[in-house]
Amino acid sequence: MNIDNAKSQMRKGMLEYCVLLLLSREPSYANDIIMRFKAAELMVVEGTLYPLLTRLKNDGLLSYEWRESTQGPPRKYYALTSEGRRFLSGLDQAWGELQLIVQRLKSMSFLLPKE
Amino acid sequence: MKKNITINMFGSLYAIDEDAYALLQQYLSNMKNYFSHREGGEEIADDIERRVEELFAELKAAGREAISIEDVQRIMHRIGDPGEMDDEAARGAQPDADADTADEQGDTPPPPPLSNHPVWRRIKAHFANRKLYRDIQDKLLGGVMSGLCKFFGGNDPTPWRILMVLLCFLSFYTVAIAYLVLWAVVPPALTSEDRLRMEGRIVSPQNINEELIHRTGQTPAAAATGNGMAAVGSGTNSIVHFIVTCCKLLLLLMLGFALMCVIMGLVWLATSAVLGWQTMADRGLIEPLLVPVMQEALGVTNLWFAAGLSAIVGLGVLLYCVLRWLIRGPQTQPMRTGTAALLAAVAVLALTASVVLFIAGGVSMSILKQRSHLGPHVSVSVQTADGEWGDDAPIVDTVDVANMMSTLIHTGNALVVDTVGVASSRPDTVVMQVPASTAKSQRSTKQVKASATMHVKVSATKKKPAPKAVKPAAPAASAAKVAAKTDSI
Repeated sequence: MNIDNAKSQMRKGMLEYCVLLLLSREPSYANDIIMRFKAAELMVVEGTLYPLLTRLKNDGLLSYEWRESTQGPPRKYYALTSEGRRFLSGLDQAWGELQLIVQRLKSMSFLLPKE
Repeated sequence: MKKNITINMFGSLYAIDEDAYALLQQYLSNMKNYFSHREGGEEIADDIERRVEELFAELKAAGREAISIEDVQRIMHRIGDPGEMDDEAARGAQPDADADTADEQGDTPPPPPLSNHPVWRRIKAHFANRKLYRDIQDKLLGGVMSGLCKFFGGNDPTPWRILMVLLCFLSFYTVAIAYLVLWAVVPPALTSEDRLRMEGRIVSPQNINEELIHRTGQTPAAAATGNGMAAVGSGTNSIVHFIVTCCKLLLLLMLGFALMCVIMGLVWLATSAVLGWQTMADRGLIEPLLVPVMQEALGVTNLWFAAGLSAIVGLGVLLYCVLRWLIRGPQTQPMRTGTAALLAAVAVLALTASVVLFIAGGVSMSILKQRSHLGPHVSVSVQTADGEWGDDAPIVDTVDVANMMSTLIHTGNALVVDTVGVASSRPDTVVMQVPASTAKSQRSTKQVKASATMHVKVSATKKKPAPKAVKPAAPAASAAKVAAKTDSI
């Protein structure tokens, strides 16, 4: 069970980044975000998203507006603020750095001489 | 048929079953509580409620007139637990769990040694979160035993219920009065928080949700996939399944056969009690020679009867378990630990008892046979003057004269003897005086020409028919020769 724990921890850390990535293209609402995640094979429980979105909004990274929908009640459509975009590019950078580090570590094991 | 009500969610009306509404209310208020401590918490709870409404609208658009409890359960499952929601959960919202461990670690003043003892601390910790409730979901009468059981950490009240019934009778119903008092006084576990506290679990929204879903039955999604998976089996699986079922059936047949044998044995014993051994001997159900032994062997028959009953109990329990295993569907719950332990104990005890009693009966029987007149016994037949041997007439080998007489007279082809005595110098020798004129066998009327006194030696070896030498004491022995044969049953 520990590997699942570790995996879920990793995913939790990434979720914020994934949400911002998705919203950078176009504004979207909670259910739609989940659908797209699913299409990208990222399984998220719906309930996880609401607190996250609200937090990001409270931190000023997202803003929302109500839009009427034909199928029922109005929905909150979230979009990136300018600060959100800055944040996102910072995360992009962090992600790139992480990738490099992991790659280096993987290849290092072959290059380093044995003591 | 269920009662249906109309609810208003953000200005739209939805028809929902009453029980579904109750569940939904608990879920939403749970969410509200969970998020109330944090900034923006109300908004989150609001978002969730809106999401629920959205899903209701979808159902309605798809043609559903009324929202049922299964719908609500599915939605709850889909939206999920607050606990699974982001990292802030770990930071702020688990005060109960943290408090418990903090208490234990933050003890700066040295506590008195007794209460710091690890066993005592564990006991205290066990009872710290728990309150006594009546478990009305798992009740027979009032859920008292079930609640008590959970209070002390157990899960299966079955053995305790049986114990209580026994105590009831033994204690002149005092226990029954105590039970009624508890029923009146102890509160029932109605809400999910109650149930959590009853089982000593930490009251957090995550647990509450779990309990909510668990309480109203399995979520339909899980149940559906469970059944689906059972139906679809791979090829190799079904062969294995077939073999396993055959083994189960075989086991069933063997147990059934054993049970039948035991029952037949008991019937045999019972008929003996009703008809009497003599009648049974007449009907050929038992060897006639055994009759006197069995008549005295009341203890043995009791032992064997008890052995038979125990065996029935033990085999019956095993049979029940195998049957249950055989016809188990995907819906049957696994047997609870208490019940399983109880059944196992009963089966083991019953079977051991039956084996022990059976052996005891057998031992007792062989002791009796040894002591009885039927041990190695001697039979005598008379050879008449024309050389014909009559039928064997059994005589006894003990030194009980009176008994010998009666046996000789009553047995079918009895030899009528004049006197029977014991040679005092050699107690294993029987002396018989056969009068000349009266010796008759039932089959022939040949007479014994002269009387003879025979010494018949009795040996204690069994199963060896060995003709013993007979020495007529008197010289006028030409007439009767008697062949004595030792025989044993």
